[in-house]
Amino acid sequence: MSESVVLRTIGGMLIPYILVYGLYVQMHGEIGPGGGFQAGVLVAAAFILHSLLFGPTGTMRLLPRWFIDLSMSLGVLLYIGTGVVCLLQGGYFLEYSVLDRTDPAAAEALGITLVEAGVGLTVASVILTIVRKVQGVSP
Amino acid sequence: MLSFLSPWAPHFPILLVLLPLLGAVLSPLIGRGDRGWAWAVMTMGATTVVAMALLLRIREVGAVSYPLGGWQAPFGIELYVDLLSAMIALVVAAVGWVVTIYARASIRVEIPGDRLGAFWAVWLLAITGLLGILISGDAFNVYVLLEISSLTIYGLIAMGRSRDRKALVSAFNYLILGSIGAAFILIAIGLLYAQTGTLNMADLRSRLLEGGSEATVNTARAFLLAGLGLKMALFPLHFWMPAAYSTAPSAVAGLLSATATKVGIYMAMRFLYSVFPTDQGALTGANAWVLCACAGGAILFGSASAARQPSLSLLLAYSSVAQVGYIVLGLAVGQIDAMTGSILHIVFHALMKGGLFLCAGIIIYRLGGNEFHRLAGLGRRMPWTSAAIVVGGLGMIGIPGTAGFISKLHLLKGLFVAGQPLLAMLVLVGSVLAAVYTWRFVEVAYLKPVADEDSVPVDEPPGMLWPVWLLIGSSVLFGLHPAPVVKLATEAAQALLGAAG
Amino acid sequence: MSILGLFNHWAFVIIMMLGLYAIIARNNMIKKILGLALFQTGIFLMYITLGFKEGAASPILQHDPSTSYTNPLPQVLILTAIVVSLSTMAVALAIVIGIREEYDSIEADEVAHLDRQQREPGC
Repeated sequence: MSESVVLRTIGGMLIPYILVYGLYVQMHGEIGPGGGFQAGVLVAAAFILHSLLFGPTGTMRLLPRWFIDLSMSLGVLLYIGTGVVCLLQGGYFLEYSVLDRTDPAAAEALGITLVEAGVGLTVASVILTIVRKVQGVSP
Repeated sequence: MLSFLSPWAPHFPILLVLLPLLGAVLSPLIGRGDRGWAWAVMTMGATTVVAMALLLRIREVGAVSYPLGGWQAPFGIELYVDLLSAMIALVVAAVGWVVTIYARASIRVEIPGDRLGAFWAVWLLAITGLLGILISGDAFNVYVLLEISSLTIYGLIAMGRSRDRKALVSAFNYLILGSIGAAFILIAIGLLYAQTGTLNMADLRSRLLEGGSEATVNTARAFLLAGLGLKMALFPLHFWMPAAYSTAPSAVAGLLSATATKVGIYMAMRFLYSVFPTDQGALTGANAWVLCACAGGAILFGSASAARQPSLSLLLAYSSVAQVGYIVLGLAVGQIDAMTGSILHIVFHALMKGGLFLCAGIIIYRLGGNEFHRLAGLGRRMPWTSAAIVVGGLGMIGIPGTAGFISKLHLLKGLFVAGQPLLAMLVLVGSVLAAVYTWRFVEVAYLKPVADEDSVPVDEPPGMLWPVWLLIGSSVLFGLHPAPVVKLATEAAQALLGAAG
Repeated sequence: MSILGLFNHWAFVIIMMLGLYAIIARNNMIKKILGLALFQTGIFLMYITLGFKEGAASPILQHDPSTSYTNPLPQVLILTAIVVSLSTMAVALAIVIGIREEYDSIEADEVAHLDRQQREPGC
């Protein structure tokens, strides 16, 4: 936890921008450099900065353990779920184009967006869990 | 049988990984303790059914390929399952299921509740990784899945810390060695990619057969063998294994001894015979010699060391070093009978050694440890467990009537046909040494005079005992009625060597 | 091609060997992990070199059809391998934290010494 008022104020102001940048990388990943993994790391970085400035317990209150565990599972579920829906639609696992047979191109975009969202969610929560283990605040 | 699954038949390969993965992801939401255990048992049950159905389907229609995302190979990532991979996948899934059932009681004792955390998620994830390696038709995916299974296994071993803090050190050493091994495999795959520009295994093979730089391919093979040698604990790269198996939670040791090293051996078979070009289907020259020398060393050193260990777990671990030697010997000779023997030994050793490690776990559960000085009079104190250890030990020796006899018979026949009587002698010497270490247990458990208070029967928990006897009993059953398994293994060996020839 | 023309290959082998040396020669477990990270980084460099092409554009579609691109596949593979490496570091650090809790030391020889003492009490 940082004692310096300057660091805490400036750092606190930075956090929302890092989060928005993370979201930008997440959404942009489909057509340019970026994607779920990078975005997840950026979002996690925002919360790591928060825990450095305001102490790990403060971040723990913001994002409790159960919430992180849940989003870790939900991210992978989103990924698998997209694949399983493709299976149920009669395609192969992760064959996005069968999600919407009238417009396969839009279905491809939808599929990859969902999968990347799952990746981002899982990566962010896994990175936070690792950092918490090292900080020693996670049981 | 299993016809209710037929609408899903084309998707069996992906379901084989999806089910345990889904189970792993959902298990933290299901809960810890008994609910988590019941969920893991259900998941593994469903996985085993799918593995069984996949094997039956492959018997019917031959090897199956599954294009992930509908992208056709070699551009997309392909799952490829043939008879060999389906057989080993069934063994991994079925033994995994039985060990999961067994794990309920022993995990409760060996891992305190606050550390239990995501145990079942990690456990199922490890099995997911192992099954994934077996069905992957893409060289880089094999590397990633290998790391998924290895990383989860390091974690599972480290959970043995509350019984024995040495588990942490052995997990750390295994992690360093295993990561170096995986890095070597990564280099090998990179060199193959540099040579051919593809990662699909079938495509790799056809492009390597077209010719190219001999040096690159040989370097790749050398790196691959070194890396896989570390992963499957082939002598002299086995140092991590006895420490890891003897300190891990006993259910984890049972799972690993039955599945993890076997999957490493499967990778060696797959890469050496269906990816790299070989002459007349057999390894020749330096590769064969190095593998035979390592295997011979493993048989002699492993069996001889096993007889000198202070505890049952260590004895079993060193015995595993020797058994890996037998399997690699058949693999290196590359003769059809020897290869059949290797494949049979993968299956039978998984059943026998899995069962034996679970017995060691029951002893730890009741007596707090399994050093030999605690085992005096065990034949009277825990009659069923001791009997299971003796039957399993007879299988390790290869007494007629046990499964170990069948696999060693094929191996010996193959070695004689291939004109390697010296190596065949080595197998026989190894069997004699196995008799020595099995006798050591018999002597302590049945013949050693004991004080009266040490001969009081100890309650053997039935929930742990029947999974043990399921594994040991099925190995005896296969020893008495080997025909169906031998037929499968012969066909798998023919497919493997035929593709190479 | 001259020996120095293979600069990247020399570099990756040297980086790998530095990492391997650190794993073998360092006693501190954290330094061993750093050595492992260095070792894996060397391999990443090898893969990136495989996909590199002199004067080619990054693999994003350009309007000029005559553009030549570098091979994106090794980069994607290495992205995956970096994730694997990161996970390895995480598991390794978690295990070292455990060792520190149980043994109160992260020096490999001290830990081995403590284990020997436990086995032969009185020595």
